[in-house]
Amino acid sequence: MSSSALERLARHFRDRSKGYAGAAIIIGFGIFALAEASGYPRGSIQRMGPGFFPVALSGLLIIFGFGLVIETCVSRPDPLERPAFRSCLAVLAAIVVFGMALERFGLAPAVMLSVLVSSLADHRVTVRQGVTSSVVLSLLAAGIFVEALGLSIPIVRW
Amino acid sequence: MTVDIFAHLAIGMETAFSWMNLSYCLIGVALGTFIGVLPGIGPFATVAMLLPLTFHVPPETSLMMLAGIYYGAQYGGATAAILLNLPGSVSHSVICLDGYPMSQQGRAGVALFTATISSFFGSMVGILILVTMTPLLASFALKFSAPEYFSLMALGLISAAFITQASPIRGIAMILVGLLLGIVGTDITSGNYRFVFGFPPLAEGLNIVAVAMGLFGVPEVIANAGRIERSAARPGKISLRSMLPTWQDVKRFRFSLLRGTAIGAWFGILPGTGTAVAPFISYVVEKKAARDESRFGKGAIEGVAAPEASNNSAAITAFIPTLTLGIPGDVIMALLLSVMIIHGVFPGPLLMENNPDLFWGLVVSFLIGNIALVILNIPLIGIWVRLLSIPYHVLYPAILIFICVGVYTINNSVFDIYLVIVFGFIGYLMLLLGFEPAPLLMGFVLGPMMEEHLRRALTFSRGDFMIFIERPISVTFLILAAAIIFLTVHRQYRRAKDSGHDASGDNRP
Repeated sequence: MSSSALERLARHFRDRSKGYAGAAIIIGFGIFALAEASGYPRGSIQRMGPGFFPVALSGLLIIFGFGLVIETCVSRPDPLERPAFRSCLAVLAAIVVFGMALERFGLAPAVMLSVLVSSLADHRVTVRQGVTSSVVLSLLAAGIFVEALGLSIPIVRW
Repeated sequence: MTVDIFAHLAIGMETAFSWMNLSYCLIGVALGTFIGVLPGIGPFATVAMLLPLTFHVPPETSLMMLAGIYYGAQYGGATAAILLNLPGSVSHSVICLDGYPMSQQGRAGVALFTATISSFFGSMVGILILVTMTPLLASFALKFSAPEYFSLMALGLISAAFITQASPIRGIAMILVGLLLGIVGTDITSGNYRFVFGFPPLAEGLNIVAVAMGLFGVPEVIANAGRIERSAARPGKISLRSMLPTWQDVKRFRFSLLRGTAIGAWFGILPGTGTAVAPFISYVVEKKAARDESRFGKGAIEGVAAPEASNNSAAITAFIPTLTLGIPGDVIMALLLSVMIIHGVFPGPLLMENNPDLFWGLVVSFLIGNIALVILNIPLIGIWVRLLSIPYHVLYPAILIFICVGVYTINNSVFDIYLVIVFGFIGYLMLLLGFEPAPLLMGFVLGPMMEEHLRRALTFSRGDFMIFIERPISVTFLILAAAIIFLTVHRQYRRAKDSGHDASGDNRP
């Protein structure tokens, strides 16, 4: 008897993972903000200090986080979809690569490297397509951003 | 009054008809249509990306181009919706419902033509409303003080949270998060660092373009990179003759145009909502207003005309609160607002007096832009269609590069690029968890302003919250906000009850 109740409870949470996960993150963020903001001088209502508004907002956020818990409890099942891990990692890594390479190596290498990394996001892209895109885009980028628009980013830097 | 308008338009034409302004305007509308046609990248992302590149030109030039992108996209977005069942942007999702069936019935040309004409009508009436209402609103707004601004911003946020969301609680949570993120940086009044955590670049606050691109642009790319195939556009021949609607069509949609435009104007003026909401409401209204509801979803031409008219009129009228009050009509307006502020142009009731060339130049550029769009769109329909067959895997790396370079050029700061990563991750998380980024961005933009107005209002009233209710304009906004809350919750409650009855075979619409 108790195992089936436990199963039902587990299923309830899994079916509504979207709502509960979201609520948990909201509440967590609210607590974090509240902790930080309560360190700032609050002042009074007549003369609001820097801490007044953030404390009030984070408090409200926590309340609404719990409101979301309640809403999720009574709502219909809506589980989390499978995240696109590969795309996510590839895209974010591509931006990291761009950020690191831009000032060290210049615009063209940064574009080339990040396009190469980002092409990993789509598993249908072949190596040759990735390399072609990266070369073409780095040339285009140099042409559009530096030549046509006159931005002061070095194209290549040793 | 008429003489005044002509004098103003003369100033406007003088400003708008310079070579630089004209070319920026036309580039903007062409780019806007192009972006609008492409699914997966919308006007917001484009405006945000190009924003940093307009810093070195005068404010009116930059606004003309960015605005052109904005309302230009409202023309093009219908194309992919009609031909491929893929909306070019959120505001065009509803066009798929009747536009795509029309193209399946071989009436793609008529649908596209109707969309363009409706867009034009909506824009023109929108410009008329802009020109007449802005002076009225400006003189009205001179009576505004801190409590009124606060209440109006609260109204804007409430509408953003409640009208566009399935779950208002999520909407409010997003607004609150946005407000908190807006606080990051240095407090104007006290000089304290808030939420800076010892990172010097954070002391100036979070870069709005980095946040916006991270929340809107990056998740799109992540979600679509592995998914969208090469688009299969097969429109066949589209000749000019085949595009013209029949007389029966025109009889059907002529009132849809008026209704759609009115709905668009209303939501455009209301801060916090605009092109995202108006087309949906307009579609629902058309359905209810039609004699035979069952035609909808199967190629009813009103289902294309009304939403198109409404998203264009909303786009134009969204400038009204933005320019007169400095309160963005929607998220793209928030970006344009920051452009103005960076250039030292302060929107507000005195904008028309202090910067008449900017205001009227902008208005005239809207006229030019829309006329150019009609001329552009009709012959170029074939080209847009061919464009839609560029495989996405070529497109998305280019989008990422644009995002990265665009963000970097604002402050020459690599830190901003890393911000994009952080917010890109957060944005993707939000996508998975069902949270909308738009209310967050609205809160982010309005946060510091709201705090300032709240502070001033309470200092003035010596801590008395009643000031918001005692002042008539302020209380009106708050009542409107309460009405929106009530109506939305009521509608949700009814829907929840109805769905409980569905199982028993109840035949409710």
